[in-house]
Amino acid sequence: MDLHNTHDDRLLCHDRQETAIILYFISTGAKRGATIPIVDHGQGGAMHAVNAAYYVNPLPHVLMLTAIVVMVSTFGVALALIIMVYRRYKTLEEDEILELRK
Amino acid sequence: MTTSPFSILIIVVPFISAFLVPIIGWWRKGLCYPLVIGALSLSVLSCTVTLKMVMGGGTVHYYLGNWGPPWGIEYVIDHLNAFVAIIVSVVSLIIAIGSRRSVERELPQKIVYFYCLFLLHVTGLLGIVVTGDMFNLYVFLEIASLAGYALIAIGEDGAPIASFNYMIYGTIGACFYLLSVGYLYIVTGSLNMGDLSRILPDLYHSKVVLMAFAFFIVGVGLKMALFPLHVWLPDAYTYAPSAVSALVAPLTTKVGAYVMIRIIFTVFKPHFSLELIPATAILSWVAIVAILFGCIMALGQTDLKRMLAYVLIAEVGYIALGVGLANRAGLTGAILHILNDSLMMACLFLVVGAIMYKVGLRNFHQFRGLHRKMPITMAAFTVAALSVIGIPPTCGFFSKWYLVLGAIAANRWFFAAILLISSLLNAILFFRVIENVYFEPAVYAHNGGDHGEISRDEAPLSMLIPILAVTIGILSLGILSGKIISNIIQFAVPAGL
Repeated sequence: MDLHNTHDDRLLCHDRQETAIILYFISTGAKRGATIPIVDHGQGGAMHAVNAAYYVNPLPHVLMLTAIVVMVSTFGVALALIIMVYRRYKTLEEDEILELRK
Repeated sequence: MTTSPFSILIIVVPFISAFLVPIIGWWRKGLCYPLVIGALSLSVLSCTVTLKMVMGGGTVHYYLGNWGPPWGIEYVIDHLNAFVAIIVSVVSLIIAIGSRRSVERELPQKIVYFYCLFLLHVTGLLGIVVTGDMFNLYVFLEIASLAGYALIAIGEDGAPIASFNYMIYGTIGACFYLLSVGYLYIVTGSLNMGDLSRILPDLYHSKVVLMAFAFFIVGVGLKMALFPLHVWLPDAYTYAPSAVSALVAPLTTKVGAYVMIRIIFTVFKPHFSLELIPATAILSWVAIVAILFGCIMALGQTDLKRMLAYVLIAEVGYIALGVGLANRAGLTGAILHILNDSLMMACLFLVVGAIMYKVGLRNFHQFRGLHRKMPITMAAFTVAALSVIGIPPTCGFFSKWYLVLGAIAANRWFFAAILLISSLLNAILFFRVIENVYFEPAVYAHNGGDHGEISRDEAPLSMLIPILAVTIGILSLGILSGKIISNIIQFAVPAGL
């Protein structure tokens, strides 16, 4: 196994953690046998009173749309920082950078 | 119930101005600075009006887009956040005034972007303070942090690495926070803080709620740099440009402390945080270690800015200790310390910025004779240092006094002793600097002949005025602290304590 203590690795691990949180939130909206939260598509159409049990909960999905925007911009800033670090030290290895900064 | 458009103006004005800055800066660079000052002044005005309304008629609510809770996002402003909002807006206005010359010197190419990020950071901080919605708080937390990462990264050599480390820790903190918001949402079905505090008491024994609480504390602890989670702070605040350290050091950690108070005492009831789980007891022990660690690590530094960063970790410890004591006096001390520490840190970091601007030195062993070169700046430094040590009549004394009273009321004599010891350590810390500035004979190797004759060369007026304003604030708020407590803070302390 090839484990490097590099900054880009750390960022990718972190990105995976964020993706897991997004999936977790989306899973909380799911319901067995429910359909997409648009009233026309529901069982019985738009004629009856809306029964929340027939629709998946849309709120976590909307929250995650916002969270995805936040996480994408975080990722962008992080990549920009990594480029700055690389331009200055020509490496992303933590140990080599510490060596160079002495 | 009162609603007021001023509670939304607190945020909207700096937010829209943040986007106007690049447009106007593209046309004429010189207009950015007045625009920032204008926007922040309007924000200060809105905060003042809102605080007046809160003091007159109780909590102010504002429904965004007229959607009432629990569907819409609600801004709730009570005594606690009105108090913190006015601190954030006033301190950021003062720092913005003082930033002009040092930004022109340190970042000549990036003035426009600097001010854009500056306003976004302040918007994020103010948003965290006024919102009454858990998810909205997460979004503002990330706006403030993202602007903060970018601001820190434009500093000297080492800043991008420090900023990257800060970013990793900061986003892990945000992830913890977001996960616990998700936990609370699945068990309660609400994101509104008022709603949550009504629904949660029935669920206090649920494991999900306990996990959510634990994740909250870790996430917010990372953002406010509470002791074991502080690792990002010293590097980030040392390598940042002077104007940026002066902005982020006083405010970011204090806003984190505010979120912690909000979650422990409003979203969760004191009954939960004190009796069901020993959260506050653990917090106070962590805070004690933070205070000692910060002071002792600061003793080992010769770089003034780095030393202040460690002092800041100790100061965060004081606030956490007040929260952890969880009695009236302790929490009063903690909330008062949010105000006092913002002023002290703003003053100290502004002085560091002024010294960097004039002399270009940060190692305080080279500060010899600086009191003759920059008498007003160094006098301000001394006042702020005395306040950190806790000598009356400076404001630092009063918050420490309440913390000691709180420790005694909680029968924790050990904590009271540690508070006194930390004051002594702070005295050693700052007198090392003051001794170098005032009492060591000035030796200038490079112009050997005319030793002793140092001409007065004070920092420019745009830096001196903010420094003086904060110094006067430190002295006068110390004397006024009784009034502040009886008019605002006693209403901000939750009723159950």
